Parts: sequence; structure tokens; C-alpha cells
Amino acid sequence: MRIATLLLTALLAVPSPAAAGPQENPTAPAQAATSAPAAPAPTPAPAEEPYPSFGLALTLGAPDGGVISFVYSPLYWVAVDAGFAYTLAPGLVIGIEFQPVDFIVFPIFRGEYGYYFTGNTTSQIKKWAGISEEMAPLIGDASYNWWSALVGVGIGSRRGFSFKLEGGLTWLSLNVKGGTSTVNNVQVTTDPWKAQAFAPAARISFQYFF
Amino acid sequence: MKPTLIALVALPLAACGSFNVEAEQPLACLTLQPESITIGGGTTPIVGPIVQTWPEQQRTIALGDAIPSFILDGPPQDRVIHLVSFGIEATSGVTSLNWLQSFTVSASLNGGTPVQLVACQGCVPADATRVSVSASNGDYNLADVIDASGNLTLSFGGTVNVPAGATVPNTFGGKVNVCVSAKVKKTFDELFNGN
Repeated sequence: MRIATLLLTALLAVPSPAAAGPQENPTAPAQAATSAPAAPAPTPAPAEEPYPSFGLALTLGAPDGGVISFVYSPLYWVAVDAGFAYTLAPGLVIGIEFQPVDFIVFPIFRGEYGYYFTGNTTSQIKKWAGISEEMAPLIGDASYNWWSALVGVGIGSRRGFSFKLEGGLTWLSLNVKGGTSTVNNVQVTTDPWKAQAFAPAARISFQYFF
Repeated sequence: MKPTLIALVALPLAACGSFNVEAEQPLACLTLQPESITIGGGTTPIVGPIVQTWPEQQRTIALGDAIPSFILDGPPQDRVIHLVSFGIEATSGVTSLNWLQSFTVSASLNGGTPVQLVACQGCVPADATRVSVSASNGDYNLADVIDASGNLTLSFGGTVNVPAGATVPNTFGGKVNVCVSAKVKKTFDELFNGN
């Protein structure tokens, strides 16, 4: 029994191949000395962060006025925006922009549509047109809308802050309600007035993508 | 990049001469206060049956009361003012305009050659107290006959036909109504330089 125990103990004392250190091949010690160490596996390139899709823009321009917009850009070269605007009255502006160059300085091509609700526009029209108090009731509430095509240049990063300067052309329509009044003992009635303008347009914008 | 910058400046400059504003009033109507309108040249009532001349009478329409000066002012080639209709409404003295057989309306400036704008032949509805006739020469630009104060002088007259058994006074109370359309187109240069 003692001999069996001793034999069992001896067997258990033999280290397992897995727990052993680097094995030495007694037949090829030279090969181990001359072979180059295995090259480390190449580390994968860090994945490029996608361009942020949502942003905010603050704009001053003509005929836009002051505009704060929400911007959505599914691809770095195109963005659509919708914003709240104000000059003489509250309004809305929607636009689409193309920025084909991804660089710190980039060209811009923009198309937009804007609409201003009635507000203080009528009183400014009366001032500008020199309308007398008697004729004032003939000029009713006024709203206007426009289409603009602009080109511009931007400076900044598509991944953060950028500044844009744009210029172009606008086609603007002004719609003014008519009215009735007695002017110099003459009863006067006017239909809605119409005005259209073909004029230059300009915008300066500050935009941030987050 | 360079082409974009050039376009940014050149495009508006190239179109500078084309920038313009166009304003339009499709229909402005002016109704004068009731006033005496002559039917016959005498002092006694007109007893039918009789056909006689309706004497020509003038009225000055102050278009400036309805149309802002920036539309009325300026050279005629930039503004277009058309007569749309002319009307008369009896308010007192007569019960209808049946006696009005025909009439014409013309405009002139400072006694110059009158231009006929309205012609009415048998256009008065039976027993009507009001008649309104569309301009027969509606394409004529009244800008040529409006004076510097924005006044349009119209002359109207025609033929009176009083049937047998009817009597009309020499004058009646009535209102004259004139409707016009106006349009002006000005370049930015004209607008800002007060042309």
C-alpha cells in the first residue's frame, strides 16, 4: 500500500503540459535562437465618427430678417432647415443647402422659401407709401412670401461651428388687403393690392452641429 | 472656391439693372357724393314724347384719393391706369333712368383732344335707378390724361328720350361712380432716386 501511495503521489506531482512554461525543443535549440519573434497583430484603425445630423442656425438677412433654424443633414453635402423668422411680423423659412466640398472653407448653394404673416408690415407700407390718414383704411393687413436662390461661402467645420455668407436673388410677393374709406367726401373702395419684387438677397449665418 | 466667390458678387451686380418692383391695384372705385346732374338745358320739366341732347357735363375724379402717389407719379410709360367702368345712380328727383337713351364718356387733359372711353346705347335696364357700363376703350392708358395732381377729368353726355306721357325734371340728384385699375413698375434706381 505504501508503494502504491508513493507511486500515486509521484504521478500527481508531475506538472501538466498546460501549466508548463515555454517548452524547449532539445532537438532544435538553434531554430529557437534564429527565428524572428512573431509580429504583433495589426491594431484595427479607429472607426471615423459619423457627421452629426442635427444642428442649429442663427441667420440675419434680406428678405429673411432674423431667423433661428433647426437643421437636419443626413449627408455631409446636403442639409435642410426650417426656422422661425421675424422682421415686421412673425414668419417661417424653409431651405435646402448643398455643400459639395468637405473642407474648412466650402461653397454653398441654397434655395429657400419664406412666408411672413400679417403684423406690423401694413403700418410700414403706409409710412413708406406716404398714405394719408384718410386713405389708411384702404390699405389692409399685409403678408408676404418669397423664393430665393443664393450662392455663398462657409468657413468652419461640418462637425461643429461654421459661419456662412450668401448672396443671390429673390422673387417676393406682397399681398395687401383692400378696404373702404371716405376720402375728401368721395367714397373709395379698393380691392386687395398686389406687389412683386425681383431683388437681391443676402444672408449671414452662424451654424452649429451637435 | 474662386468661381463661387465671383458668382457671389457678380450675380447680383449683373442683375442690378433688372431689379424692379411692380405694384398693382386691380380695382379701385370712387363714388362722388350726390350732386345735381343736368338732364335738359332749360328750366322747365321735359315732357314726352321728346328726344333731345343730354348736355355734356364734366366731373373731376381725384384718383389720388384712391391710388397712392407712387403709382400715379412718374412717366406714363412706367404706369398703366385703365378705366374699368363708369356709372350713374339716381338718388333723388327721378324714379328711374328710363329717359337715358344713350351716352358716352370721354377724358381729356387741359382741354386737349378728348378720348372716348365709354359708349352706352340702350344699356339702361328698364326702371333702373342705377346704370354701370364697362369701358369700351378699356386698354387706353389714362396716365396720358391725368394731370399732375392725379386728377382725371371726365365728360359725359348723350341722348335723352322721354316717352309720351312721361315727364322728367331738368336736373336730378345723382352719384357718379368711376372704377379704375392701376399698375406701376419701377426699377430700383427709379425707386430710390425718387423718379
